[in-house]
Amino acid sequence: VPDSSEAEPGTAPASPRTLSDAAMEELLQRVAHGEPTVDERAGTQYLLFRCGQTPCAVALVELREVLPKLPAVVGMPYSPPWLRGLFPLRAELLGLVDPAPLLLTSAGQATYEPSALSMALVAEHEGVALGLAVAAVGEIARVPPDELVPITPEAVTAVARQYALGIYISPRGSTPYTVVDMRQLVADLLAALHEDAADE
Amino acid sequence: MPPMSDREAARLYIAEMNALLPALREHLNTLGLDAPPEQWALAASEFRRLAGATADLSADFHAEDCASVATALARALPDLPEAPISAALLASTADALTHLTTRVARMEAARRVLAPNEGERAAAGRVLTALARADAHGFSGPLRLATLPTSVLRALAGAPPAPGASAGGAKDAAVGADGAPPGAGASPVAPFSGPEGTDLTEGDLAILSAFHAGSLLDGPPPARDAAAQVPGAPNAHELAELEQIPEDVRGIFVFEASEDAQSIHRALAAYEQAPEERKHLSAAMRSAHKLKGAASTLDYDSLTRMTHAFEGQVRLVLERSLPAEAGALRVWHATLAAIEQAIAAIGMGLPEDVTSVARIEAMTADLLARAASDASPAPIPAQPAARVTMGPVAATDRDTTPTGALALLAAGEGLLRVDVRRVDALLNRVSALAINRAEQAQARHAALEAQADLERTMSRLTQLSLALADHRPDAAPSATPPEAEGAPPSTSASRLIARFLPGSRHAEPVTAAEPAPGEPVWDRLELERFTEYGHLLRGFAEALGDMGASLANLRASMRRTEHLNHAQEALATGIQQAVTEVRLVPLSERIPMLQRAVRSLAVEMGKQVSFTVQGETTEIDRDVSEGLAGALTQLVRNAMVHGIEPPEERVALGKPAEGRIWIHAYYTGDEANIQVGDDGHGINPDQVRASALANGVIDDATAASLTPEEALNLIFEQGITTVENATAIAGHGIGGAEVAQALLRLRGSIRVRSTMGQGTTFHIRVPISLSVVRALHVRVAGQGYAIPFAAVQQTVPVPPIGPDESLGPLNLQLGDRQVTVPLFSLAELLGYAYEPAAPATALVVELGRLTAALIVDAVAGDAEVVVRSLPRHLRRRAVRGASVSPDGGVLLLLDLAELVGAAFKREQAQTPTPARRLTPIPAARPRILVADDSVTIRRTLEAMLTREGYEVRTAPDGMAALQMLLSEPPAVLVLDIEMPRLDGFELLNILRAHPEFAGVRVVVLTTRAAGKHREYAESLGAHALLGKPVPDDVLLAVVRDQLRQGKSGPLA
Repeated sequence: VPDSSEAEPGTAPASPRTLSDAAMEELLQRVAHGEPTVDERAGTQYLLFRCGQTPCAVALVELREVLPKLPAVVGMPYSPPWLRGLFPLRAELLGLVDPAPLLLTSAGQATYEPSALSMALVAEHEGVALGLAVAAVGEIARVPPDELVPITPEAVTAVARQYALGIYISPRGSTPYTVVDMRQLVADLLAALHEDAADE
Repeated sequence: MPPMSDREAARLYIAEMNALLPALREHLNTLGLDAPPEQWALAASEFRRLAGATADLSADFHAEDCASVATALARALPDLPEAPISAALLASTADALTHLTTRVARMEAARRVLAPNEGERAAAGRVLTALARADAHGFSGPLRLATLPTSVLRALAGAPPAPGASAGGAKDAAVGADGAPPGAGASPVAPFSGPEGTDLTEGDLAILSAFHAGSLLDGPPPARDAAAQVPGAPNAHELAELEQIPEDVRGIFVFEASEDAQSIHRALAAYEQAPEERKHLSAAMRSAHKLKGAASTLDYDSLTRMTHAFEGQVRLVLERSLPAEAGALRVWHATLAAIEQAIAAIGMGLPEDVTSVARIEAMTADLLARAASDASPAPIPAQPAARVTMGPVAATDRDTTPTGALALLAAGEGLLRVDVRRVDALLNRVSALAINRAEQAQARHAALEAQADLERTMSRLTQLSLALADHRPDAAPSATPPEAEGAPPSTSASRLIARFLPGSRHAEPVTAAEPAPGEPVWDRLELERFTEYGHLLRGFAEALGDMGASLANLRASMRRTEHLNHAQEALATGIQQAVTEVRLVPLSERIPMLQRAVRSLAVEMGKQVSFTVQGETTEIDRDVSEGLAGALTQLVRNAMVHGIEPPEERVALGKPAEGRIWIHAYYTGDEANIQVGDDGHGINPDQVRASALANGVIDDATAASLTPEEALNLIFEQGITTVENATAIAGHGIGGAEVAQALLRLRGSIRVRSTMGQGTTFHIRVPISLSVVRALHVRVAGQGYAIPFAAVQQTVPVPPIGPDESLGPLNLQLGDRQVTVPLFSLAELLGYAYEPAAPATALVVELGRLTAALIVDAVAGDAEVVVRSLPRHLRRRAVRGASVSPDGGVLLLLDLAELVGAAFKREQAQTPTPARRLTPIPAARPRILVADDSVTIRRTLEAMLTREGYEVRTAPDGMAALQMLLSEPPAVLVLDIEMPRLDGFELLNILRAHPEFAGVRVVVLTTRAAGKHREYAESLGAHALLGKPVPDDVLLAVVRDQLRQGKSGPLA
């Protein structure tokens, strides 16, 4: 049964952040402390977020951190436009990318506005961390495995099929959230960045 | 193969290998000692086929070492398990597969086909040895290293031949090198009955050790002559013993032994300088003794014997109390060289070279015999030995007391060996402190501001409390009659206004707001009257007292925190500096290598040279020191070979027979300067000019315009030489262009000065540290960058460049010369659009021979920055690293050499540069002033408006707002009404009366939004009025609307 506190992210266009400060604080704490994310009975905890206008979800266990504000970045020359730049996170220098060009299909990108980015998720692949800019972050939903709807081959999705693990439909609304394979997404983003990297 | 990029080729190779290696492993798994013959035959044949394919593939992609190992694998397993198969053979086969898998994994990580590193090269040698040994002890199948295919032998061809060694081994190697296929079926050479009765032939062993010694890709030169192994070539037994010493123990031994050898070098050099100081010989003996002890503990027999011989040689001089003669010195140095070679061989996992021992022991015996038979000095050797002296430390502008490793050594203290990656990780974490410090400073600043706000509120409350006491309803009327209700602003406010707007026609009381006769009179502020006044007033005073006490406590805590913060910052800065210094090593580390080069060349060429070093304690970053090694060696070799004349020629020229080569190191600012000079015959600039002209480096016109010094510096261009036939000696290593390139990579530079007949001096400048750089902060295309200070000669203002003008060359005065340099836009070089900004600044940068001017938007000063390398996936062309500035922002450190070099190439190729996209400079962000006495409201509005992209200023009262209106006029003023000092209505009155404020749009934001207040505000010129609280989007919409109206025209 999903959390009763669940709210759909990004319903008010004027202010993409829909969480109260207290709720955001709690969310950050939960991500930072890796709080129980998988419980067989209650289901996996997913963080709901919006990439452009597309509602998505990601297993909490696949995130390292949620940044409530889009970090200020310094742009990198000779980079694809989706690499927004570089930002310091404690002792590390991380890249901030806009995952939309890779994550969304052309259907998803049709309604996409780069200017709407307001927060960032931090995830990693083989120890290399990356910041992913998103439009909004919502609540955490606890989804039992049988409530995750598999994606049928004929379904038209806004999220690229190789990153879509299933669909979660909130019982309170009809919004379908696509569960994103964050590990694969980050691995592919890093590989694409490697392609553009300068040889030593 | 079809042409493909290196990256494509690597991808293909790695993919194929990743398919082959698991298949090989699978087949090997089915091969057990007890495998049924049919199963064995099938699996072994398949294994051989796949291993052969792996070898061919590796050879195709130039991974020669992998090809060799795979070839050995393809020949390792017999057709049938009828011969006795040893478990060792299967284990060695598995190890060889693991080795290949590890190699491929590293290539996969690097995404290219890599030559083996030192460890891998040693591992490949070990794997091959183990396979050969297992074969020797196991079945007598077709495996013979001498029958390796052409690819291996081609790789081996680089190894020295083996004259006098086993004819079979030498012949086989030679056949292979000639390309004649030895073939799989070639008959094995006659088995060698070595002392241990192994089946390995001398030829096998010679090839093995040649293979070890560097026949693989990019291997170091062979550690010794393969031929020299004849009398006691290492056998399988010795190899097995060698392998028993764990890798880490061996590593530690090699490190310590190298240190000891260095100590011996230093002691001998000091002794040669002052032969009467016998303590130097004692020091050499101590180090040799220590080294001998360690070597014998680990059973390195040859090394033990050579060190023992060295002790004997030195003791001879010590005991006889006579200075060592030249012959003895030569033997010492030869022995020390052999000892160092032996240590190096151990480091590479090679077997000990026993032939050197025999040579050294023979030389020692000879020395001892001469000493015993005749106390008279030994005959002077035919070749005059080079005299190598170490000079005193030069005085520099930095403290030159030996520090770091050198000081510790001098003090007899130990050294801690730390993996450099750990130091770098530490450096990264320490520099992250800078970010935390910046955040702390921001938080502290906010806390101090809040405290100041509190204090102001406190003082207002105190004044209010006094005023309330004066206005008690039961109190007697005050001497000054209260102002009539609805009266214009107080005269005190008018006096304040007069101070701000002197000479104003409205210095007198503003009267515009006076009500017309007959209009209803009303209380603007509608203050309520209280009953039970005294009681409340007392309560109020008490609360005020409590608040005052709390404030005092807060002030004290803040002071303590401030004090602690300062201490903490000083500590963090100190740690950062200390960690940076951990990476520094003294230049003296490079000297022994140079001394050896001088010594051996002097003997070889019959030249007499004194080699002096000043400032050897100059410390530079470890990476810089390593990067300098090749350049310094080349310069010293050049000086020896081309600079210093033979003794007879020098004497004929009236010079002393002994030539001089010197190295002089010193600091200037954050750079280390190293001069390498000689007093030889110098370089002829005309010859360099001619060579450059002949090689097409310069054209006739340029050749004619070059000064001799400029012509001389052309030797750092590709393909320039001043020597008709470069000798074999100087032909080794790297040339002038490579020296210059190596220094550019270190962010350094090199210049040369030479006077014909008197000598040549090369002047190298390198940064002391690559991780701490003094950098100029510039702004380009709206972003900050750091540029290494050392590259920037000067900054010059650039005249405004019109949108349609192209960037022509720039004429400027550089030192005493008038020069014309190309002008580039740094924004364009970085791939951004160039937006002409007036006034712009150009940085004149000098990179090697190239001088150029780069336009930047602004120069924001300079500072020392700690540079961190970027993670691999974020490395980009022209970016050397990043630095986190104290305010937590990131600055990219640019590689100007790369950027400017590419720009020059583009210009030379006359490729039309892309049309400049001239976009207008983006308008400044609109400024909003929020005037409100509530801190909460000020902060909330400031955050909200800033988020929306506005530049926001705040004022806590009307007077402060008026000051800001004068100093930084906003586009929109968000104005509260009830404020201390000057209220909103009064401020509106002033604005309306002064035309200089006509452009300011005023949005009144008040709790008093009722009809009469609204009308009054409008009558005073407010453009909009909103009641508190107001939703964010409503306020934003009104602000946007006002900005739009403000642009379209003046106030109605």
